[in-house]
Amino acid sequence: MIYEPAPLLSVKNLTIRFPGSGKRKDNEVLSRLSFDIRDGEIFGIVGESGSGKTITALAIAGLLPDAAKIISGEIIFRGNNLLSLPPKKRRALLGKEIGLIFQEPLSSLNPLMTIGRHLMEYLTSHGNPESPRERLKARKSRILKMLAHVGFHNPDRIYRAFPHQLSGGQRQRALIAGELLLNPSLLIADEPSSSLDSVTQTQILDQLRRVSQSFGISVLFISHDLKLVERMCDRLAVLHNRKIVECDSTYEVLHSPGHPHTAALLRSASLQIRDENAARPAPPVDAVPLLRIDSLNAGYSSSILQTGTEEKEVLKDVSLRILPGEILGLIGTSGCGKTTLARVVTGLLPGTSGQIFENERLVVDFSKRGRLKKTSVGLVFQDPYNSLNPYLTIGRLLEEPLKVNHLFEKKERRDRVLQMMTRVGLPKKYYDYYPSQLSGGQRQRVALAMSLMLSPSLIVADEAVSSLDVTVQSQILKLIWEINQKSGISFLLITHDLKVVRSVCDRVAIMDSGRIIEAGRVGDVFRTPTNPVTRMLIQ
Amino acid sequence: MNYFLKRTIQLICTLITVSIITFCAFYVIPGDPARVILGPDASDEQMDNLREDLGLNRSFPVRYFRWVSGALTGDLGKSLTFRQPVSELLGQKLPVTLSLAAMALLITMLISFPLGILASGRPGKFLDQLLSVLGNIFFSFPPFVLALLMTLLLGLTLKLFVAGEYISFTESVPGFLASLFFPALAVAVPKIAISQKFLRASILAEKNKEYVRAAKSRGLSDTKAMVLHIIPNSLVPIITVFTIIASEILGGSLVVEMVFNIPGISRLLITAINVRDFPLTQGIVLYLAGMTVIVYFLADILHSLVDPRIRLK
Repeated sequence: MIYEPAPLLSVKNLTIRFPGSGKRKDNEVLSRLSFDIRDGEIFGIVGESGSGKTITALAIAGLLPDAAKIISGEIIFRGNNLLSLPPKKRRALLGKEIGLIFQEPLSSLNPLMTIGRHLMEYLTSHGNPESPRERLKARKSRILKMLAHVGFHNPDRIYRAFPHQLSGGQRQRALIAGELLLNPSLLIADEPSSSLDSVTQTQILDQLRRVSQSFGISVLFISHDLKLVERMCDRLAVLHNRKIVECDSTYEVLHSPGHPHTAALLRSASLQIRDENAARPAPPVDAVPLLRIDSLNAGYSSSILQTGTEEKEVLKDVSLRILPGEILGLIGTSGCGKTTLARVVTGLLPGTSGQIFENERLVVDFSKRGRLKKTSVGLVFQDPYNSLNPYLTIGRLLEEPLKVNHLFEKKERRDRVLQMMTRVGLPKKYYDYYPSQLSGGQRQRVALAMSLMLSPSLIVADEAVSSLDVTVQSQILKLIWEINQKSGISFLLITHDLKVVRSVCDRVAIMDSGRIIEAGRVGDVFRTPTNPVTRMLIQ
Repeated sequence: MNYFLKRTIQLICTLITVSIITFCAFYVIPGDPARVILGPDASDEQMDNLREDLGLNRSFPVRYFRWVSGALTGDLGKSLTFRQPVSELLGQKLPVTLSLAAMALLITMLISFPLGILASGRPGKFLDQLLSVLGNIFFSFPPFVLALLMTLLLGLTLKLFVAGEYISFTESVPGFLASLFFPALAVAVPKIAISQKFLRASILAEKNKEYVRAAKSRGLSDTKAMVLHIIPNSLVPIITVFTIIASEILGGSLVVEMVFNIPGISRLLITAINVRDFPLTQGIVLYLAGMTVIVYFLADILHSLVDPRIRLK
């Protein structure tokens, strides 16, 4: 018999419900969940949004929302059932034995406090120092050392910085440093890299792996991304519909999935959408471009008396051609100017110089203080939760583009809206629904339908699938692909995700610090990147 | 530092605009100061002489610059009815109004902050509901009813103060402060009602933010998370609420000054308007407008001190 040490954490039969009131039924969010985390391992939980991943993390930490009720189960940590510990003892474990890293580092930081004060809280909330002044110095040097340990070259600056002065990756790394201060034995990382771009994401995940090894910390890694989980985790549990459907070594789960849902997840994750045989022939590269952007400069400025940002050039000499009927991917790290380009192309932001041609006809010359007027370009935003007015029904939202342009009679407009809903795969009954009654994927369908209402020849989709989980992501990309194939509408697909580009795009342009550094057919660019930055992005 | 410089330039520009508008307003409204001074029986010649003396027959820009350069040196002209320099009259009334305002503001903060925090503790429960109802009641009371009720109840029945007695600060400073307390309370009550509600809403909004959960994940107790994270963040929007309240209170409250017999700026303003005392009215209006602008300026500075996102970019 092989001796197996007791696991660090074991969750047994955990069931959590949000009790309903009156007519509303109880909402079960976790159902008889059981899994173990061993000492020093990285254990992954994958699942779609709403499958109960975050609730699991919060339950272990004891930070469940007040409304949640634990119906049954045990959470055994180092031999103690956490659920029967008094709150004070449980709190004492947080930060000291169990650390948490959340998805969005900016919103997990108090905007009014420096990073140093945040990290100080890890030390001060566990036991009071006897001589505060002496200890303050010691504590500070401990924090600075840890900041240096996670790779900051100038820990002093980070210590004094406020959250908004750092980049997303820096914030997340600073928070990891904080978690390590008291050397916990379990680190719960809830989608720790989902809000970061691919380069930063890699850095953060490497960091996590390294600290797990060098400090011997077990990590509970929660993600919706199978690729990341494969890279990170020793063992893996797949969460589906509030239950664990599969739990085994990562290799085993991903290479011989034992549950149909895992197989489906794997299929969506690979994002195989393009069907090269059925695809329309891509337009020749020397075709007359649908939209040609010529040496465009753009930025944000402020008048002397307005406080805030100084004049800032974001786009530098950008030239780009979008061919009729193609899907052009635009990738780059966050803050490189992708969104600014989208805003200029759709006329939301004037450029400072440069020209835009539509079918080789000059539509705007920014050098002559021109402004882009109504164009045939639609726009889909990243966040389907914030881009739809919550007070309008889906029908009203879709009708609006026609209404403000005084197109068609009332009845005709209604017919067109219903047709469009069918086209993007929304059931007709949603006509009278409000955005809050729809899921993220359905909302993004509404946003896409909205941009299609005025029959544009080009749609700019700014990170339109990045906030969706894999299954929904592949559905929306499929829809984009179908619309492109059926009606020949061009898409400018802005993303930080290479998979998305591979899945549907004909050509790809790479942006770095406001410049287009490379552009070409997806296969060519990915196979033989010429620019070092492209190479780094692709790795 | 750049931020403060920009704000200061903005402040100066606003003050200049305010002074122009104030002056223009009195330039265009009907009524002839010369006629007010000399009465209906004066001859045209007398009127012309007086206009010459007062500089009323000069062009608009000349009169404006005279007035502004006077104002900058503290000379706002002479009151037509009191035959006293306007600055002297303001000097007598302003300390009273300012003390009353400061006291009312202090009372508002001292009472509304704890109430707001208390109400947000268990939203929807008895205490929260009670405070909400009381807030609605006190907010909807017309000020004069409140002032009269206080005089009747606290003054005449409970004898907590002598109704209508006012002690000036030259007589006795404690007496002065004591005689301002109940008037200040009357001014503060509706403000407490509203700021308590704002603070409650602000705390509840902050409470559910992710950084609070993150703070608890570091091992902070609920109380510590409240004191160190939630309250400081929820006070940021409250600065705006208090800016509005402060600029309102600093304008003086006519009703309270009347009921409690306090010689403040509001009563002076009413008198000045009634008798068409242009220099005096102009001076008071300039004070009111200038005070509002300065309060908003201070609020901006306070905002930037509290919130590093405004200061550092």
